[in-house]
Amino acid sequence: MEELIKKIQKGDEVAFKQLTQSMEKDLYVIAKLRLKNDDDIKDAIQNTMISVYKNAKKIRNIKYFKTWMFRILINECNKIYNSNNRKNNILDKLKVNSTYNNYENSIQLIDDKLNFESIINQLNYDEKIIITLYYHSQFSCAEISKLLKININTVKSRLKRAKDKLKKQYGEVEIYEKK
Amino acid sequence: MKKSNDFDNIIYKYYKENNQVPQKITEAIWDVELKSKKKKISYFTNVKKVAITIISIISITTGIVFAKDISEFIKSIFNDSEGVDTATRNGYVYTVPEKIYSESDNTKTSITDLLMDDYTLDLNMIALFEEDIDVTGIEKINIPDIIITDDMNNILFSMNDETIKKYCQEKNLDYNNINKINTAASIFIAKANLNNMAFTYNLSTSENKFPKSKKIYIKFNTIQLEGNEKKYTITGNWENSISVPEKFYNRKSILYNVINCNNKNVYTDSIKAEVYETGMKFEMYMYWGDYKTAIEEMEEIRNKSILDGQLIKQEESYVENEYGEKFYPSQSSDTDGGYGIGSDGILIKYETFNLTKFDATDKLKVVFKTINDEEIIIELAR
Repeated sequence: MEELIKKIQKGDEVAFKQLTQSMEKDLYVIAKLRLKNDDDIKDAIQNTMISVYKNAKKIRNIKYFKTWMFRILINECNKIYNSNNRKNNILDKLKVNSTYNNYENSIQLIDDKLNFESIINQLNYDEKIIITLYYHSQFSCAEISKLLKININTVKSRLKRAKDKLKKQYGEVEIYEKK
Repeated sequence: MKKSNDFDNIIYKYYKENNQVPQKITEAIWDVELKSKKKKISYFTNVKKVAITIISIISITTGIVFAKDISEFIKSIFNDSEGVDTATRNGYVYTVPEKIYSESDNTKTSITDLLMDDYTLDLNMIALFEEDIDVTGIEKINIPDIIITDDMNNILFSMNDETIKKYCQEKNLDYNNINKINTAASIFIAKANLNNMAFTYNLSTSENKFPKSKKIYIKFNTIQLEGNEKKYTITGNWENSISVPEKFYNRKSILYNVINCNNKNVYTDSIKAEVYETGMKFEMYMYWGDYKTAIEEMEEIRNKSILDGQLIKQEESYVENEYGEKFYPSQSSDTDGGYGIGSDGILIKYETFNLTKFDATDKLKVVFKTINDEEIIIELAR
């Protein structure tokens, strides 16, 4: 990875795309926490790549390259999320209010109860991103602290809180399944 | 319930099994032009993503200048919408009492009139050229490197990125984080005689509001003139500024709430109705019905008449005040109105009406005529 980063700093586009592809699962999963639409995720990832490539030379300690790229991705996702927010709020309301979607929604709710994704989705964004960075991207608490610019103790407490919530929900779903 | 020490493994397992990346994301990684500019994120570009087809959707036209027919320039100060005329008639305009000229290369420029609200910025300017430049018969003016900014370093208008980059360098600002308003613009000549010229900039925005600027700065280096078999390019360094009067920067629009709607498919919670000094913005979401049927129906009628082939007919839409006065869509720029329908059958309608704060009453009624000649009536109250 270090070799690739050095090439990127010299302007090697292919090396940068190779590196990005090696992280695509992490990038996608993190972006998906904020953005529902794959087109938006695509925009966020591409904008992140443009920013990172343009500023790659500026990074002195290449061991933080991945952390830095993820921080830019999170910012890009937040920008798109905020821009979509008003529209999404309205559309969400419409789905709840609309008689056309009620039947479909109720079926979906039952299905959702049975999968782990829906349990994770019940966490708030701050909790979800920590859980995902920790378990999926396998960042340490210290790295997450740097990436999200929050105190390491806050990372630890949010991680614990998120896990506790998941455990509780998971237990409830298991009981629900047994019934 | 699982034991808690197994729980970490459940989470790891979940992520391991659920990290498929769609093909389009992988392709996007390889397709991205790394040396290009970042894609602009805007509300309306995202509306486009909801829909398979968007009909007559708004265009955000950053920096593009439209030619404007000057034959209508008669009495109005800025040759803008009816709403702007209403506002100016009611004193919502600032005429500079004493012109301050910026002079360069024997050409002087000055700002003469200004109007600014949340969505409109109109400016009248004059230029006095050196004696051997006769502008009589000149029909077109272009100022390609103009940049209009304010006291908070917002970019209110510029046609090219190089100008903005230069401005950022001069001001020591971060180009990537500069606040640039998405502005549609038109410029036209109001008067051209001997070596005098009066011209107007009409700027409008839909996506973002104009800021509450207290001072506006206009800077340019090139004036291109064309017409009557004459062509001039004058270069120099002109910098004009104007202090914005308090009535403009202390402006406040009026928001209306829905009190009644005759169509149950309209999502009344989604309605946004805002009256400001020179117009009224209106936005609503409604469930239209099956997308495919709507498109087919529209296409069938559109083949006979384009105007009748709109799901909501703009020409027959209006807002009415309590005195029974009707105000129609302004259509003064490409960003003023339209609608989009999504594959989910949800129609988004937005419109700018010529009703202003000077015509507004406590209650208003918005009426839209559909393709089937049904009326959608939305009653609003402050």
